[in-house]
Amino acid sequence: MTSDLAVREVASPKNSRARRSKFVSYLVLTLGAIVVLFPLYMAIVSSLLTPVQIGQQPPLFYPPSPQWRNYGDAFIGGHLSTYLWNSVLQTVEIVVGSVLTSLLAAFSFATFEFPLKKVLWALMLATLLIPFEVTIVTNYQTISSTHLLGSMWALTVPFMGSAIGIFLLRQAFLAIPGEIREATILDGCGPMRYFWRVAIPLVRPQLAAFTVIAVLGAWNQYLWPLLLTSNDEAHRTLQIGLKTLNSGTFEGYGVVLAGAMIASVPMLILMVVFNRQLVRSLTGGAIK
Amino acid sequence: MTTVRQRRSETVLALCLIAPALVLLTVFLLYPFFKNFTLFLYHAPPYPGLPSKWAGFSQFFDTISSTSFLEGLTATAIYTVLVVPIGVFLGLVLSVAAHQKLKGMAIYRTIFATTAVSSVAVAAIVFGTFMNPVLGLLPWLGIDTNPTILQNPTWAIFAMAIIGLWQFIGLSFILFSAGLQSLPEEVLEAAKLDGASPAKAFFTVTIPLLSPTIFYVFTVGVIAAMFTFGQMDLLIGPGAASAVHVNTLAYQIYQYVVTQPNPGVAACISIALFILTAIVTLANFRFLERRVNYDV
Amino acid sequence: MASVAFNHVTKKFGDTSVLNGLDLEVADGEFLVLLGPSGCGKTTALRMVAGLESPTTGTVAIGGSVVNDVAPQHRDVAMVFQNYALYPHLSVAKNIEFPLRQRDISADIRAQKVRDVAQMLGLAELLDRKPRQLSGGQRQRVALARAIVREPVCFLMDEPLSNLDATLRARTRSEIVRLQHELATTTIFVTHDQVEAMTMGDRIAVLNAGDLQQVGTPTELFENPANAFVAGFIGNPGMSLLSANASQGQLAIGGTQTPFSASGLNGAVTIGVRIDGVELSSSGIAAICDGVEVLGAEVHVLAHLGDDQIIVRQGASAPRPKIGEQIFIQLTTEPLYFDAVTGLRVSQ
Repeated sequence: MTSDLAVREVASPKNSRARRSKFVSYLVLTLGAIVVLFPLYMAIVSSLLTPVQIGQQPPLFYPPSPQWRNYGDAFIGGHLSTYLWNSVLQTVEIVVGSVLTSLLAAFSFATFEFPLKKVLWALMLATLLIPFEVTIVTNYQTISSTHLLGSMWALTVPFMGSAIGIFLLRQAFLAIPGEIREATILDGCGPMRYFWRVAIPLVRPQLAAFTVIAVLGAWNQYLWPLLLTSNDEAHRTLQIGLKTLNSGTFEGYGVVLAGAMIASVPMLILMVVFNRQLVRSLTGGAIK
Repeated sequence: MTTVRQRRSETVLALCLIAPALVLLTVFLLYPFFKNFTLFLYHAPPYPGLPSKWAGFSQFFDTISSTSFLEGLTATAIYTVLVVPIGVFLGLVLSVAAHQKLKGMAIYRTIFATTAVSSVAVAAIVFGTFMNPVLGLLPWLGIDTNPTILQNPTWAIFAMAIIGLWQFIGLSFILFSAGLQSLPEEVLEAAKLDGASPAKAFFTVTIPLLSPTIFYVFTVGVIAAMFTFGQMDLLIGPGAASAVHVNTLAYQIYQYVVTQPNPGVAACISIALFILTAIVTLANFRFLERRVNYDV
Repeated sequence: MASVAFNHVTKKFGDTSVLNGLDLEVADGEFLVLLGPSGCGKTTALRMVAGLESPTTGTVAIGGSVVNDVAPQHRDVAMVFQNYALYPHLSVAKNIEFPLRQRDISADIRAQKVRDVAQMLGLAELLDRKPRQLSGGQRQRVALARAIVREPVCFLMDEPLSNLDATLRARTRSEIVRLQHELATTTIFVTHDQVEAMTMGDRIAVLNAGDLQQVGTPTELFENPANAFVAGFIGNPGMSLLSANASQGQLAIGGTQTPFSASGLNGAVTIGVRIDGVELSSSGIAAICDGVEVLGAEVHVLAHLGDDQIIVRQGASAPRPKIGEQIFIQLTTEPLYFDAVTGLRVSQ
């Protein structure tokens, strides 16, 4: 800026420019939000319509007399109550298992020096590169040959090890200052006591982040449950239940959509409550 | 601290702690991954229980030159091209618009993130229902539904891509928002003080600084797209997928495991698909190293 | 309470030698300062007493028994770390209580001990706070409290004052000394700050590049440095070291004769002069002024002659030389003599 005049000249268009860019932002975001939400909105509306209303022309954009019984039908007639319970069980098993094994392994890699450490760490990292999809041929055979088949464990045990979890949590353990570990040693605290009493409380944020992403991943699983429970109604998860509900010659689209809403509500709640943890885990812990 | 006995007991403890994760990852990822490389050398027996027949590399080359594989490759490629660039672009635009200290931004962020937490089954049901001609939405919008979109060899892949795109926008948005937050504020301020217009500042400052994130989102998107098959399975099914050109490679692996079991062929496709994703990942790393180099 | 002894202790990290045969005894109840520039091996020596490092050769003994093979938690020593190493997720009370919880001590007694120590260190009001809600000085006192509450046989302190501001550091120095006298617990205190060493230690062990230079009381080190390094390191400022020449009962600096005889010496010699052993004058040893530090009541003139630096004191009202100006210096007290090659003190 060479003079006062120049400053003033710049200042006023800048103001209107700022207002304009604010307006454009809102416009873009609102349009985007409408496009993103419209299918969900229509799904919610339609989940409350009768079969006749759903086929109506022009379509209804609100439920004139909400058919809550669609939800009841999905739960009872569509067996979603069983599938919901299976999904909860599946998610809990996978999350507890993968969090536990990842915590232990990550702690070990971050804390101890031992032979073959580098080799084992490289092995862990290598598994990050293997997509689960390319392993199903053998995994299907492996699981079929064990007595796990026909139990929830068949759905969950293969996912109880997580390279991502080990990776994220190891970073977190490494970030604890060495002096803290040394202080616990001098205070007479063995490695496992240090693990439970000091280290785990200190990595709680990263632990929460990994737990959230583990819940999301487990709940939304499609391929593996599809392989195992297409013909096993007793252990079918919600996601696969939606498929059978959809392909069944059943009570109509209102009920199917009601089922889809039931399946998505837990994750929507999770996202709203744990948004920060979700973002942190999706970005690999790079953003706090 | 470092007497021999203590060191040995510490080693034992360290290995015990790693063991559960290591065993699981080995049994369910490493072993089956490498098992592909023996499976793909054998023809599956005509009846289960009979010995497998040695095929050598011929089975692999037969598979990847077969019509169905090439169709799958084409479907996967078209799907990826439809979903990823648009998803990256929309995620970027929305995150830039939301990256301002304006009122209500938290609500918009939550809205866009919803699609990232929706499962493929939910997304497929929601969209699939409205693509159904029995419902009034598409005719009302003036879209001809005869034959229905999901049975239309030209349009089915677009229907699949819209579902994938809807899911991918949320992730793309979250990743870009995080990337924008980590940009150095001073550089953007400096550009403003230098008199750059918002548009100019965006293209000459924000985009170059954001390029690592752009490539990251791109890679994540491509890899996810290459393994897509959920909406195909849920809305079209293994029988019809090929007829409407949506029989992606990942779906074919599933079919060769379940609907027409053939471990040898499944292993061949798995290996081919893995090689493709490895190439994408490596190319991206090379590109990142070469192009995206700056010190901030 | 216990004595601590290093018996010809060496430490190597790969090919780098950090300690070259340290022999040092710390008496029961003594406050010993390990002093030296960074990288001299003082922290390594301290960590060996703690058991966080093990000697490559030699032995470390606590209370007369060798502890090389004793795990840190069984040595009964407490350490105060440079960054305090407080447990961030625990309150002040829980931090202090932590070492007690690892033993068989009933909850009542634990609570009583925490209260007593908190009282002693003025932390009673802060017991429910988390470390991040404390000032640097308060954190430092919590770290001390955590060490004291264990009633260990020995305190190890690794530059515990280096993160405090100057005023607080001075105050904390005397507080630690007072506590140590009250508790009469053997204390090894590591620092690179010779003022800390001089004001706190019963004795000081000066280390440089892995070698023990001298052990003694602050006065001994100040008045009778064993070598040129100690002479230059101890005191505020340390001795100025100048190369000089002795021949036929005459000491000459830069060709200029001095009134001192340097009897019994011949040839090149290094001399050490304290700031009060030299003065500016109109003639004498020529030097070039490098700068002037005004300290209030007095003024320090920094100068060099050849490669040697010297500091001369001046009254506040005297005319001050300019930078680059030639000045003249005279020795007013007989200097100390050191071997020009080995740096060892030469007795006359």
